[in-house]
Amino acid sequence: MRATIKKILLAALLPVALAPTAGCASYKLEPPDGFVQVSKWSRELHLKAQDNVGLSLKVFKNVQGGSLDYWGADLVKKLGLRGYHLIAQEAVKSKNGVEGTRFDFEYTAEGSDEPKFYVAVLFTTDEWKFVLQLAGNKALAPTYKARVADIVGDLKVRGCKAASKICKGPQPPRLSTPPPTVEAGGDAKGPVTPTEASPTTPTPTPTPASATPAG
Amino acid sequence: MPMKRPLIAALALLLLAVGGAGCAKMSPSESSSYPGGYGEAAGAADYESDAEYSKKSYDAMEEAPMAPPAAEPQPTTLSRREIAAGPAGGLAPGGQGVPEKSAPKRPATPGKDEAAADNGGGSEVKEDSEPQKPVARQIIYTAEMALSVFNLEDAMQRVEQIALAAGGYVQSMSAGYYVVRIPAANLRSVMNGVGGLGLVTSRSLQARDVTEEYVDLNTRIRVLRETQLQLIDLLKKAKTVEEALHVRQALDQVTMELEQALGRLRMLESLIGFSTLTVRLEERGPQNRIPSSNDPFPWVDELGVEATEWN
Repeated sequence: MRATIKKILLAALLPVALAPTAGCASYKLEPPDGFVQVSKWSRELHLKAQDNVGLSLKVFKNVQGGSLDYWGADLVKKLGLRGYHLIAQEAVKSKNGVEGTRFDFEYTAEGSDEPKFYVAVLFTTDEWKFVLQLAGNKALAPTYKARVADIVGDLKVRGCKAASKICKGPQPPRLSTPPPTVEAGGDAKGPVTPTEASPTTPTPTPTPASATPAG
Repeated sequence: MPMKRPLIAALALLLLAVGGAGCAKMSPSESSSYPGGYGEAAGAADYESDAEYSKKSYDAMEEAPMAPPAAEPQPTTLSRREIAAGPAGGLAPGGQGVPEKSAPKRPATPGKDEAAADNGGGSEVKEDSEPQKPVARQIIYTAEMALSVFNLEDAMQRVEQIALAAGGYVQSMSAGYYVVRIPAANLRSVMNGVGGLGLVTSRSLQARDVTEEYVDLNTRIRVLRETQLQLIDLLKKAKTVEEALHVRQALDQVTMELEQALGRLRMLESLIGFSTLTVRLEERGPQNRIPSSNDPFPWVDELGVEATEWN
C-alpha cells in the first residue's frame, strides 16, 4: 500500500519538479497585433506583418564579462561596417525589468535602392543576450517604430542571476556609425586581398589566317 | 710473402683494365679469336652487334611498309621533318616530287615534342640557332564568386549589365548561376562591380600559365605554313598526275594539321584574352544564414534587415 502511494506521489511530483527547467524558455513574447508567428525555436522567433515587415528575436549565449555596453558597442560597430547607419539610441526595459538598449538604424542593401528601417533592441543577462529586431521599408518606419516600446514592454527575457550586475549593467555610451558608403567590391570582409594575382592585359597576337593550298 | 699479395692484386687490376680497354676497340671477329678473355671481349662484341642489330631492325621496320616496288613507287606520306627539309632534305630535286624513302613515321605528340621535332629538320635548324626573342607571359584567368544578394532577379540583371559594359558576354546562365567571359584586362573591375551587388561569401582567382604551349603552337604553325608553301611549289612543278597526287596527299595532311593547330591557337587566345568568371548568387532572407566572419563572436552576422524582413 505504502509503495503504491509512493509511486503515485512520485508520478505527480516529478512533472512539478521538472517544470521550471523544461518549460522555462529563455524568452517570452506573444505575437503583437498585426504580426503572425512564422517560426519559433528556443533561440529564435520569427514573425511577420501583412506588409512584410519582419519582427524577430534572436537569442545568443552570453559569455563572462559580456555586458550591455560591450555588446552594444560590438553590435553598432559591426552593423556600421555592413553599411548600417545609426540614427537613434535609447535605454529601454523589458517586461521583467531587464535593462536594454534600443538602436534605430537606416540601411540600404548593397545592390538595392530601397532604403529600409531597422530597429535592434539589445538585452543582456548572465546567460543570454537577446536582440529584438524589426525591419521593413523605410516608408513604413513611422508606424512600426512607434510600436517598438509596446513590443519591448511585452517581452520577458530570462537568465539573470540573483544580484546580477549584468542585468542592471550600464548603458553603452552614445554610439555612432560611419556615414553610409557603398564600398567598392561590396565585400563585408574588406577589400580584395593583395595576395590575389592581378590579371594583366594579354599580349595580342594576331591569329594567322588559315591558308588554303592552291591547286 | 705478405708483400707479394698486393703486388699481384695490382697487376691483375692493371691487366683487367688494359684488357677491357682493348676489347672495346676490337672487332667481333678479333674478340672471338681472343683466347683467354671470353667474358669481357664477348660481352663488348655482343653489345656492339646488338646495337647494330637493333639499328638495322629499326631501319627495316621503317622501310618495310614503305618499300616501293622497283618500277612502281607506292604513294607515300611525307613526314613533316621531310617536308620541312624541302628539296634538299629528301624530295628528289628537279621536280620529281616523290621521295625515295619515307622518313620514319612518328606518332603525333602535341606541343613541345612536335615543335622540337619540327625544329630539328632542314632549314629550321638555322632559325632555332638564332637568339630567341623574349615572349610575353600568356595566362588564362579563371575566377569564381559567390554572393548573397538581397534580390536575386535584380542581381542577375546587374551581373549581365556589368559583364556587357566591360566588353564581355554571358556564356551560360541559370537561376542564380552565371558564367561570363570578360576581357582579361577588365576582370578585376568586373569582380569588384559584381561584388558590390551583395555580400561576397567566397571569391577565388586562378591563373594558368600557358606560355609554353602558346609558343610551341606558334612554332608548329610557322613550320607547317612553310611546309605548306613548299608543297604548293612542288605541286606546281609536278609533271605527271601521279606526282601531283603524291604531293597533294602530303599537302592535305599538312593542311589538316595546320587547321588543327590554328583551331587550338584560336581557342587558347580566346581563353587568354577572355577570362571566365563564374558567379553564384543566393538570395538572402530570414531563412538563410548570413555569412559569418572570423570574428570570435560572429553573432551580428546573423542580424540585420535581410535576416528580419520578408520579401
